[in-house]
Amino acid sequence: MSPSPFDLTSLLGYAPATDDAYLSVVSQGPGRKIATSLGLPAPVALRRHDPDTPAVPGPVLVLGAGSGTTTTPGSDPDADALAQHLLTRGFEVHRHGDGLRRVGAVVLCLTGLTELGGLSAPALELGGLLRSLAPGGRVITISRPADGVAAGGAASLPTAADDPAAGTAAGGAPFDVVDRNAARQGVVGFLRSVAQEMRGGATANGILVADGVAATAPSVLGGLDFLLSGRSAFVDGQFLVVGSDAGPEGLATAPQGETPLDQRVVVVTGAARGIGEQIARLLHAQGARVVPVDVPAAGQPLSELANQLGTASLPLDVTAPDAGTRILEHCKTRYGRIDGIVHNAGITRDKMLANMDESRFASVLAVNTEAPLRITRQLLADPAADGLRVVGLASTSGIAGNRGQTNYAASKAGIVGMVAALAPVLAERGGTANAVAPGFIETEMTAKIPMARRQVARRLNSLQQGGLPLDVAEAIAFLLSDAAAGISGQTLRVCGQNLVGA
Amino acid sequence: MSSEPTIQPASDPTAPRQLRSAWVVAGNRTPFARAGGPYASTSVQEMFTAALDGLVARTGIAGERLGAVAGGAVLKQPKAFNLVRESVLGSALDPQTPGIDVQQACATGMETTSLIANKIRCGQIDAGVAGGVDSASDAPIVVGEGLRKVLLQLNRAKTPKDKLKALAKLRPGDLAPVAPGVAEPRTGLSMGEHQALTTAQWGITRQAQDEIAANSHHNLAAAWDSGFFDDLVTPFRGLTKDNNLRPDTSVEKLGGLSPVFGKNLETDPTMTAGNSTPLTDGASAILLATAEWAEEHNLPKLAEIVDAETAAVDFVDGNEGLLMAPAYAAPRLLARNGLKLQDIDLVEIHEAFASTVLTILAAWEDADFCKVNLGLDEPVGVLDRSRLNVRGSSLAAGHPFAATGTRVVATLSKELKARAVAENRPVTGLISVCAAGGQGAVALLRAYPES
Amino acid sequence: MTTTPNTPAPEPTPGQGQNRCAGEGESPQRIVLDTMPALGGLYAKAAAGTTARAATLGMRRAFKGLPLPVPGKGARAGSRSGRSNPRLPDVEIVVPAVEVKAPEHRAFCEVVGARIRATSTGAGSGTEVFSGYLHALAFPAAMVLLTRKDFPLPTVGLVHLANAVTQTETVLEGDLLQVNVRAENLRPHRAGTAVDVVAELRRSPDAPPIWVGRSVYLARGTRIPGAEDSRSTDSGTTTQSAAGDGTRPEFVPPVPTARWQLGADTGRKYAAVSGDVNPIHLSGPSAKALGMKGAIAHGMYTASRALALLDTSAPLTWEVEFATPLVLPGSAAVAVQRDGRGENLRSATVTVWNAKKRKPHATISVTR
Repeated sequence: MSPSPFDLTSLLGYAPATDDAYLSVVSQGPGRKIATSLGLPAPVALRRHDPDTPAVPGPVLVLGAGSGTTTTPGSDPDADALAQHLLTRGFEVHRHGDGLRRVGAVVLCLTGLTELGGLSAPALELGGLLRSLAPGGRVITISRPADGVAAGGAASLPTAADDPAAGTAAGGAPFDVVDRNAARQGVVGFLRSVAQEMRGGATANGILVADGVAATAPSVLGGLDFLLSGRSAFVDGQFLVVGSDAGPEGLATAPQGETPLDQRVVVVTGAARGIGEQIARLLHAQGARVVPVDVPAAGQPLSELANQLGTASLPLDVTAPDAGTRILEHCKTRYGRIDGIVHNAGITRDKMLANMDESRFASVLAVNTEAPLRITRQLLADPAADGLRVVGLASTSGIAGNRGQTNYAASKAGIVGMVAALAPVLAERGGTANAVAPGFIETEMTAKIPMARRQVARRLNSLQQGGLPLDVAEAIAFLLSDAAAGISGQTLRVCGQNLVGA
Repeated sequence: MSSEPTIQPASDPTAPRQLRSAWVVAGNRTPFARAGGPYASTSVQEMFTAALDGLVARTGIAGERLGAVAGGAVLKQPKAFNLVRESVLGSALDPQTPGIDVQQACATGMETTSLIANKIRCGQIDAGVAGGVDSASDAPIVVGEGLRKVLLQLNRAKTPKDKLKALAKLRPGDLAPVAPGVAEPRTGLSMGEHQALTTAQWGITRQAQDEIAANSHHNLAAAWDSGFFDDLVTPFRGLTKDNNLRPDTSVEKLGGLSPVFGKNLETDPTMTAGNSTPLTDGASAILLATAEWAEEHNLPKLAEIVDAETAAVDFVDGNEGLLMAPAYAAPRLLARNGLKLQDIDLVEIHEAFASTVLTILAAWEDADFCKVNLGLDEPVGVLDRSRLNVRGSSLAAGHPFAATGTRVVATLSKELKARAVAENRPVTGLISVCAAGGQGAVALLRAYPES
Repeated sequence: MTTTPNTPAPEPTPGQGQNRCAGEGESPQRIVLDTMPALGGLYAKAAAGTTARAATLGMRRAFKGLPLPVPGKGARAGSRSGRSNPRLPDVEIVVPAVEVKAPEHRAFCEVVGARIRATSTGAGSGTEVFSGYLHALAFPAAMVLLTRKDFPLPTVGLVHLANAVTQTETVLEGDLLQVNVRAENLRPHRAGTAVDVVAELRRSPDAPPIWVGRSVYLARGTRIPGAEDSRSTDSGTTTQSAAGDGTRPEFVPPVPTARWQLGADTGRKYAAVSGDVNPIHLSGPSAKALGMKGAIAHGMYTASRALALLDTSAPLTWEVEFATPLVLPGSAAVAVQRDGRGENLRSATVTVWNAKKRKPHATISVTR
């Protein structure tokens, strides 16, 4: 590898190695042999983004399900089109798995699936390829979302449910829609199971393309770029839901490059340390003009961060009644506009509900949910917030619930609800609202969990390790970028397919 | 994102130069800490660097080359002779930014403000930082004269025999360290003892002093509670707030303290630890710039440094109180700018002691003093107390000597700007800081409603 | 004129000058020393000349302010010579050419805080000598006189009550001065017996003195039956409160303008630069050995430091009265009252007192 003038690691200022000693022992060499022979979890170091290595660790195989013949080019126009786009991006693209000893990624185009039986052939073909999948490889399904599947489903697109075409399609043959819906949701279960069978740091994720949106819409291609790359290292068993054709034309020919957020003015709350700091550093590395916000009490690390990023800090308590106004004022004064905000600031005040007191409950809601709501409302009151990209921080606890975290889970689930409802509001002004739900992330906070519990918590996901703050930041950066312009109202889990609340 | 040093010739080098306006665009300080507390193991250089870094972070000028950083400390280790430049090198500023060490006792911060403002006004620089720092915890401890002489001789000695000879002169008493003097060199009286004389001379009551102290704490506490200091203070070493602040103090509580100064005078002593500033550690800095520089950097023009004046009094034989120089400086400054005390919207009088404020105010109200000492036909007059130290002052915040000046400048600038915008008119402020050696620095600041 | 040989601590020639009256118009005997003697030897001699018990007693009484009803047996005046009518020796100690050496002068100035002042006067240009230092310059000659066997008062118990200096000309470093010292005006004091020791500095034997210092000493508790009562009137250098027999008025402290912090080594530092190594100033133990509660500051240290505060130059007259001793280590309140500075100073007073006890240590007044 040639030396690079662009030292991402030092720029991001994080140590990729975690304090996960088990991971470092078993990820390679004799330790790995022992672990596998004992049937112990055998996590491997994940493939993360590096501008100097190829985005995919081998050829990309595009399989289709169009007319039931998975291997015939021309029979599945969506698969053809996707293959063409991937080719344009410079990937080595194959339409057949025959003769391939090593596969970097398999893209399974299932947009044409009308009945669940149609899944068999491509599923089995994929199965035959899994042993050839390179470490850090990818399986990505492209399919359409099922209707009316709410809680526990992969997608809940408010607009899709109201789509007249969906309900009355094929007029007079309503049961076809039922068949199709079963097939579509079947893909979800299939993919999530595939993800759990992946080895060697490989992941399986899906993209759900809303009816009426082209399978090659900018955000489908942008989503593919994200999921194929190391930027999605800790995203596993998840679905990106593309609800619109929004997004730059340029994505048809090339991914966004290293600085997709060039000159975007993005506010990051809770930026002084932990995940927030990593978010700020990554957004900065991707070209954004970051406005790091944290409570005045965290002013010292906040200042250090701001000075390293060459930006101006904004010490501010997000629960202040005028926090949004002050953020707006700062952004307008210094940059004339605001392009995005990451509501990262959050606290935990864990207690079993029986022992919970009002201040613990209320303060968690105030910081984690009420502040993002109030700030967003205040930002949207100003035309400078047109096109605003909002990213909230949810949590797997908010999705699955967590013992001792009734307050926290409520607050984080609130974020899921917030972005879902914000999406149509922001859509009118050209913006999006999404959330990221981290699972077990190696942070100062999780480092305080007692050793045994921490080791267990780490392994409770398909990748058998904790994620890094960078993994969360990568997902957030993606959702802030133009590549995700067609994705809104969604909550993307960055959890390595955490078994909790799967 | 270091800005390249550029040399641009003036458009017409022969044209007479116009004075430019110097603006306060931002301020930052560490929380102030009582000596021996959270900053006890911190050097003045670390503290000043932290204040600079906070200011740089607040304004987003990391890597910028500024025209100058001027600062200083009253209590300074000999190794810190280049304190400010060393701090700059350790900060996020471009290492090509020069540093200037200034020392004018407690008025150091006022003098650095004046220095940087004048450089800007004269066209020498476009932007610079003024500040100050002090740590009573990091005060230099000097070896006794006996040990010093032995050590010097030891240093010169060439043979072991000579060295032994030098060492043989050492006496046990020579090893005792010498703490820095807090007394005025010419009188041997501490500042508190000096002020006790002035307090007695002007007949300032205990009640009046305790009221000043209580107001200071209440005003500062209210400012903290309202988030006023969110963009003026950056936490340091785990301290997030001035730890001398006692929000719940009262005139009654203060009234229970025993006097500490003036106990051997003929009058009843009135000065207590509650109405005198404690020894304090802390650093502060402000960013000053031309209007153009501020606009280019999207920074607000909080307040203009309109003018400044320094006076000194002959206190040595008791002809004038040690801390009374501002009483002379301010009327001169006001007269030069065609202003009366009553024209000033906000007045900051540094509370070295509560009675410092009160004796200065009493002098301005005293027709004889104003006539004889200031040469004025009319007394300077009464100050509307609601305009005084509205965001608290040194009795509550503490007083790290050299850091106080720019603490006050930053606080007043922000307050003036807020009022100018709220009332949609220019708002003028006056700062008075007394200093050791019978000195006093005053400055005139003005904010405008326009951004 | 008799000349004694050059010795460090010359003993007056026996048989000469003893028991001689300083009669009117009659010249005193002149004892000429080639060089200034060292004071250490003189103190040793003074101590040897009296018993430790007597010294202890004398010192203790001296500062307890308890005059003895009758001269004690240990009191030297009566017991030494056995005479009932002691007289001052009619001698004059003369040191013809004493050089004012710059290093010694500067060291003295450093200790008392006097400014080193460059001057350019009719006497030439150079560094002006601090008036207080000139007292120290002449002091060894005075000690030669005080430690003579025929001096009627005990040296070790002497209390410095007051000092008055009139200086008419500026002295420069490097100047050669003749020192003349004589004692006069032996007189009863309410607390014992007082005597004036007069030192004169002149540029040449025939010239008028340019610096005259009159020191008033008290031998507390010593009674001299036949002392010249008639001459104990106002000497011009002593005042009623200190040297006279009037009651002392209550001391009202002025408003302080300064404070002195005097370390335990104050006496040793001044001894090193003045040569006055009297043990009562040097350390607690040495002072206690002589019956003191602790070391006390040299009176002339206090006076010189006060004079240095005023920072003025010759010609001038300065007078100091000592009241209570300043125990070391300690602090003293100081008040300066003056009508001008430098050349414009006409009169000034410096009061040094104990702020807590409200007792004066010394008052220095200067007129020019």
